[in-house]
Formats: sequence, structure tokens, C-alpha cells
Amino acid sequence: MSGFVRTAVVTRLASGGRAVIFAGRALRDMFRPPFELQETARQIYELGWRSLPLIAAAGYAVGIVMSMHTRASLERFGAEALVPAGLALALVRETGPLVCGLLLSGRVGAGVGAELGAMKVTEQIDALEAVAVDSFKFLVVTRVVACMIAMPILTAVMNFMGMLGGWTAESAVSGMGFEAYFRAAFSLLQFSDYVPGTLKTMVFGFIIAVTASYLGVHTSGGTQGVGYAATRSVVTASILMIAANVVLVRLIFFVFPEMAE
Amino acid sequence: MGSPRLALVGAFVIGGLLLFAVGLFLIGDRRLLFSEQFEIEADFGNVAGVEISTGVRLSGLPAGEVIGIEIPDAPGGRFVVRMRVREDLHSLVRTDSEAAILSDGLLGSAFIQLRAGSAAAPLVPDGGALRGVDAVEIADLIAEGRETFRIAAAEMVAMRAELTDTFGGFEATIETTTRLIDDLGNDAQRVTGASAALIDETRGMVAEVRGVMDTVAGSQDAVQRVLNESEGTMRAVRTSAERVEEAIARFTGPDSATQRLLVEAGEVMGRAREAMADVADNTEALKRNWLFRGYFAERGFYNLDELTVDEYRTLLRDDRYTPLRIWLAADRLFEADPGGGWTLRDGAARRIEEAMGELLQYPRTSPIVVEGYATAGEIGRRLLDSQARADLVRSHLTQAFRRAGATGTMALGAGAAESPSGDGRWDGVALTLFAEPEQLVRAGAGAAQ
Repeated sequence: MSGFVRTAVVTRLASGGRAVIFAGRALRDMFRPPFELQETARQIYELGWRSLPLIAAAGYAVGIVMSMHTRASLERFGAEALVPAGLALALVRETGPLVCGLLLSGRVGAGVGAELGAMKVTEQIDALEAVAVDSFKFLVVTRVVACMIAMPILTAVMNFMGMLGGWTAESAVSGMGFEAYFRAAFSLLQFSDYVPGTLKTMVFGFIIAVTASYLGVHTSGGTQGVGYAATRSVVTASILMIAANVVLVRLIFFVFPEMAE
Repeated sequence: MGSPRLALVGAFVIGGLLLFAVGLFLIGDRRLLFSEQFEIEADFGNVAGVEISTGVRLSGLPAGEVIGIEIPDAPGGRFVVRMRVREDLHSLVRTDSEAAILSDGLLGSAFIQLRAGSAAAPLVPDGGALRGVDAVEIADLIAEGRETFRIAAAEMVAMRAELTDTFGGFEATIETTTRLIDDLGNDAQRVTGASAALIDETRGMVAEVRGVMDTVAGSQDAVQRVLNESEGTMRAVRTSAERVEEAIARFTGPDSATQRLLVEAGEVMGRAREAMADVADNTEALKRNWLFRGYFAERGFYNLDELTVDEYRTLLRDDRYTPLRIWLAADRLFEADPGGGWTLRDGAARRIEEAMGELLQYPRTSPIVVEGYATAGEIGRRLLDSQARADLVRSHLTQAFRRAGATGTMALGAGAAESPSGDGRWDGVALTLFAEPEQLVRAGAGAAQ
């Protein structure tokens, strides 16, 4: 029994070590030519542009719901005027990046995991290597870079769509004007809220793409393994992203102490 | 990858970056990063939540933000807050301007309010200093409020003691006056009785003299002697009668001491009544004062004019009082008048007085509420009728028992949960006396004796 546990632990640790090496290689190869710009642009289109409707719709809905909840809470204290600023703070600091990351890990993580897994089990990756194409740079690095570029953009879209949804809900209740709402929304925001909150999603993008790619290129077991890789990609990427968020928030508070006040 | 897709990717990236830049611009614009500005500073003993990037307003207009706070070197020193203010507002910031730390309501964040200076004062130079007005902390306000209420409570206690002394003084004055009047009455009766006895005695003496004169008429000397004695006796009697008359006149004449005492006693009573009325007015005013209203409400003082029907029904369940009710039916008390109103029918006055007689064993200060009830018509009609009926009965009680001050009315419509009809409704009135528990005990003991 103890031998089984030891084997399992060693296997997990080895897998984790391989994943870390995989991620380190992806990080290193990002800055080494050739840069595969054409493939990177294609991945931005697939991972970013085609995720835009999902992110925009989700952001708008989240904004409406959060506005209604925030208003119901602040109304008790007669502080309805703080609804736009409170919503904007919540969206920009945490809700926008995290929801966007989770949505993208669902859509992109599953897609990348399944795509690379299928290529692996059908030996397409081996074929690329046979024609002297660096499959890691061509398949993994391009997806990681595309995801790291797309994530902050999609987060900005989610934040603004969330505020738009908040304005929709607020104008329906109080008739507040568009310009007045956005002025009020940005009244309490600082650069230290906006910039780190948006840019940390590049880390989320890296985690999502690396996790999905790693699980994809290490797929085994035929088509069943492909489905398994897709599912594990979503779950693992989501958990790792949430865990990384905790560390990132702590790091941001360390760099921008005024955010913690 | 085709050109349209590449264009979409370009649009996606550029659009996203623009969106991100718009956010940066909106934040920067609020922080005056894209407009001309000048710096000023102000010192405060307490920064009250002000921090870097806290907003600055000039006469309510957003004008800038805090860019630095210098901490004093030693305890007791003042914090220096540096601010960045829009250049287009520079002309309003003069050397006599002031900076105060305020808060957007109880939940709002702190901000610095600049007061525009006077036209005569020179402009504050870039980097110049303004006088800082320290913030008013909510905790300080609460502490001050607690102190104010403590003082108010102490004043109330002192005032109650003074009122008690004043009432005690009035009672003593009234008792003294009453005793004085009683004593004067007794003295006058005694003097009058003595005078009457003296006059009777004098009349008897005159009769005896006449008898003596009749019996001794035969002897000249004897007659002369008797006449002389009789004249002496008559003079003495006349003198005594004159003294008695003077004494009586002193007690009964318009300028007599008794009359003066009675007049003075009347004046004392009049002044006492006026003073009592003033005290009653002042107490009534205090009951309506917002500061003391709670004090009186806690002690069971209520103003019927300010009570709703529901509040009055709640008052009926107040443990501090026991409402004693006498129900009087409308068909035995009222009759409709031609004008659509109500009048007391024959015999109603006697029935009201009989009912009231049962409540006379309680102190006159016990409040009595004449509750009016009416079951006919719409809710508005019922309330009008019940009010009219209650007013009629109260008016009669005021005339017959002279207790207007402690008697009020309440129009309750049709609902009467405790009415003897058993259906929760009543048509008529109810005399409700609010007795305190110890009054009930005393009344019960009196009835037992």
C-alpha cells in the first residue's frame, strides 16, 4: 500500500515537474525567433476574437446583476450615489478579470486541450517534427502568446460591458445619464486599481494556455484520451488560475499598498 | 490566414488597447493629469481619513486631489496636506481661503473643501499655504450629543424638583388660605353670637326696668331713685350695644378687616390659579417640545391630538394604566338634529352623570377619554359621528364636573373589541378612565371600608 502511495506521489510530482519545465520553456521560447507571427495572429483570432461575443454578453449580464445587488445593499444606507463607483471598483479590481479568466479557461482550455490532444493521438505533431518544424514553438508558444494578448483585451471588454450593464440597470431605476454614470463610475478608480487588475490577466492567459497545451501534447489513450485531456484542461486551468489570483492579489497589495486600504 | 481575418485580429487588438487607454484617460482626467494645475498646502491637526488621491473641491466643484501628506515631527504637530488644484480655479483661491476636511455623508469618503477667498485678498501663489480647518469627527459629534443629553436630563430632573416644590408651595398656600377663611368665619360667628346674646340680655334688662317702674310708681323718692338707677343702667346698656355694633361693623363692613382678609385671600387664590395655569401651559408646551417629548412619553403623558386610532388602541394595552370603561349606548343618549348632527336627548345628561359618578372615586387628575363610536354609514361618516358624539358628552362633563383639563375625546368609528355587545362593535360612547395600579388599590380599599 505504501509502495502504491509512494509511486502515486512520485508520479504526480514528476508530472508537476514536467509541467513546470514545459511552462518555463514556453516562457523562454516566447522571446526566441522564429516568432511564428502568422500562426500567432490565427490563434488570436481563434482564442480572442471568437471569444468576444461570449465575454461581452457575460460582462453585460454580470454588470446588470451586480448593479442590482449593489443598489439593494447601498440603498439601506442611503448611499445609492455610490452604486456606479462601487460596481466599477468591484469589476475592475477582481470580478472582471476573474470571470473573464474562468470563461476563457472553459472555452479556450477545452478547445486547445482537445485540439492538441487530437493532433497528438493522430501523430500530426510527430509529422510536424518530421518536416523540421519546431512543434513546441508552432503549437504551444503561439497559443500561449495569443492567450496572453487576448486576455487583457477581453478583460477590458468585460469591464466596460459590465459598466454598460450597470448603467442600463441604473438608468432603468433612477434615469441616470450615460456620461454622468461613467464619470461617477471612474470617480473612485485609481491607476493602481485599473492597471494591475487588467494586466494580471496576462498571467491567467499564460496559465490557461500552458495548462491546456501541456495536457494536450501529453494526451494518450486515443479519442477517449482527447476528451479526458479537454476536461482536465478546463478543471486544472481554472484551479491554477484561482490559486494564482490569490498570490497575484497579495503581490499587487505589496507593490501598491494603497490598494489594500 | 486571409486578410479579412488579419484585419479582424488587428481590430481586436487595437480596439482592446484603445478601450484600455480610454480607462486610463478617464482616471487620469479625474486626477488632472491632462490639464494645467497648481499646488497648495494646508495644515490640519487631524487628517480624518484623507489620503493621497483624496478629492479636493472648491465651493463644491471638483477641483483636484491630494498629492502628499507630511507627517509632523513631534506629537502635537500638524499634518501638512499638499494638494493639486485646477489652474482655471486659481483666481478663486486667495490667501484668506480655508481648507476643511468634510465627508460625503455618514458612509461617504472624506474630501477637502476649499472655501473661495475674498476679492480683496491676493491670489495664493503656486506652492502657497492655506489655513486648515480641522475635521469634525462623527465620534466627537456623538460624544457631544451624549453630553448634551446628559445635561438635558440633569436639567429635567432639576426642573421636576422645582415643579414639585412649586406645587407643594401652592398646596401649602391654598391650605393656609382655607384655614384662614375657616378661622375668620368661626371668629365672626362667635362675635356675632356674643353680640346677639348681649342684645338679648339688654332687651331683658329693659323689660325688667319697665316692670320695676310699673311696680314702684307710688313712691316719689323711690321712683326718682329707681329712675336714676335705670338711667345709669340704660347708659351702660347703650354703651355696650354701641360697642357690639362697632365690633359687628368691623367684621361686616366694606372696609372691615374680615372683608380685607377675604379680598386678599381672593387675590391670593386668583394669583395661585394664574400661576397654576402658567405652569400647566408650560408643562403642556414641554410635552410638545421634541427634546422633552420622549421624556414625557416614557412617563405616560400623551397628547390625544397626536395619537392615531391604532396608537390609542395600543395605549389601552399599556401596563402603566388600567382603562376603566363605562359603555353608554347611542339610542339612550343622542338624537339626530335637523342639521344632520347630534344632540343630547332628554335624560341623557342624567345618565352621563350617573355613569360618571362611578368614576368619581378616582383622583380628579386621572385622565378620562370619551371614546366615540358609530356604526352607521361609510368609514368617514362613522368617524365624524363618533367624534360629534364624544364632543357632546365631553362638553357636558366639562360643564357638570368642571374637569376640562383631564378629559379628552377619541373618535374610534365602529370597532370596539371589548364592547358589551359581543360583536366587536359599539354604537354610542364609552367613558374611559385611565387609572394607575396604586389608584386602583386605594379605590378598592375605600370601597371595602
